[in-house]
Amino acid sequence: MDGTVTARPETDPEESPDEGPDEQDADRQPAGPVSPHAERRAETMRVFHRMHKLPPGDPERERLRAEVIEDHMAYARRIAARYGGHGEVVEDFVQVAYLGLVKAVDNFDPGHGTGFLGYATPMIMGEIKRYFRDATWDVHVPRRMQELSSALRKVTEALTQELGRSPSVAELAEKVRATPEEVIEAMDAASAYTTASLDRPVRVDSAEGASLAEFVGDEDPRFEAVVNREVLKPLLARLGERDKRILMMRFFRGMTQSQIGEELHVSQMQVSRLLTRILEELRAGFD
Amino acid sequence: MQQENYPESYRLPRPSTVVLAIPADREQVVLVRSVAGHIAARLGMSVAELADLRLAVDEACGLFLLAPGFGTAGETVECRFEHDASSLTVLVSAAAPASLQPDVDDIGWLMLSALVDELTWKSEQGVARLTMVKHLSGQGG
Repeated sequence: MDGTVTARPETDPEESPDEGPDEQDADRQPAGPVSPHAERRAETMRVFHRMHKLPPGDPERERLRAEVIEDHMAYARRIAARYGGHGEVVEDFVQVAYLGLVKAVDNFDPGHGTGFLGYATPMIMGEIKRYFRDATWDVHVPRRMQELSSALRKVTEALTQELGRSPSVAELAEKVRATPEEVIEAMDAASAYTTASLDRPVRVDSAEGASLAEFVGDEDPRFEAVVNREVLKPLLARLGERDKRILMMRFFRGMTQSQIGEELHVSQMQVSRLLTRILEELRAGFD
Repeated sequence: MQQENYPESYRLPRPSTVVLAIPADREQVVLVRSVAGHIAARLGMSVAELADLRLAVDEACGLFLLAPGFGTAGETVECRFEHDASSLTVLVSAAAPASLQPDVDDIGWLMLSALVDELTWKSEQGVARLTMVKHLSGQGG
């Protein structure tokens, strides 16, 4: 048996309000029982039809409206869950998903011929997407990645010392409370889509010349944006002698913050703060 | 270029085509999401479009991987990404009986419908094919 199912967002093949077994359903599940969805859909349509026979403001209409919203809150939550996210963000997604659901319930026309979920799904998703765009998307995702990158840096250093070896992605993910996928993404984010060749050896004269990426990878994720040495040169020239030395030790000799601290007789924390300030200055000069 | 010497079977239909085959295992879908993300970025899609595409390939793979009985015979799921100047087509396919059909009332299909511009499921000769087309809005890329 060959079968073709086509759907465009605006023409969802859902059963029409006058229910009854539609051929597509029968075709799809030749021997199976009636889809558990079908019964619920039919019930939802009945509620909508009853609702629309009542004048707006009628207490019974309000009750039915609340009922159909409640019935679909779990569905809205499932959509929100597909968008992932963490902590408060998930809760935000769920809230805007509910908002989309309420809008869908209020605007749905049961006489129009499409099923409710076919109507509500894009509306709920649209609400989540709008939320991304308006409130958080541009800020949140990069920020989340930045936070993750900086957390990863710290955790990598700590775990390396603790374990006496380089930690696995799974170990890092557990420590920073992210998924392994996100950890890899955060690592990727530091190197992807930049034109600078991070794999070019830093010391061309040395056989074991480590690539820039090794130095930069665990440092500030935005540093690769300024690591173009041609652009860096005039900026580096403006730095003080000690700052320049710290930068060289960290990024071109690959020394750890602690090693730099020893050489300069300051604590690792101070080195960390110094590096942060130097990188900020460089970035400011870069903008 | 030694590409000329590749046997026919190794040759991709178009230079812009990317093909990824994964075992029928939910854990592997991360690879498809990742590839989709990189392709979207290279095509100059916005971050929101990129998120949509990642979600879409995830749901698309789910239609296969979550189907009862699918994957028990060592099937692989193939994801093919093809693009031209105006659209990106993602073709997800696997060996599957004709009885394997998406539940168009289910959240997965409903979300897919909202995520992409065109959506088609076709099942013939023991292979099920899901085709998704996303129009490229931005002129970047």
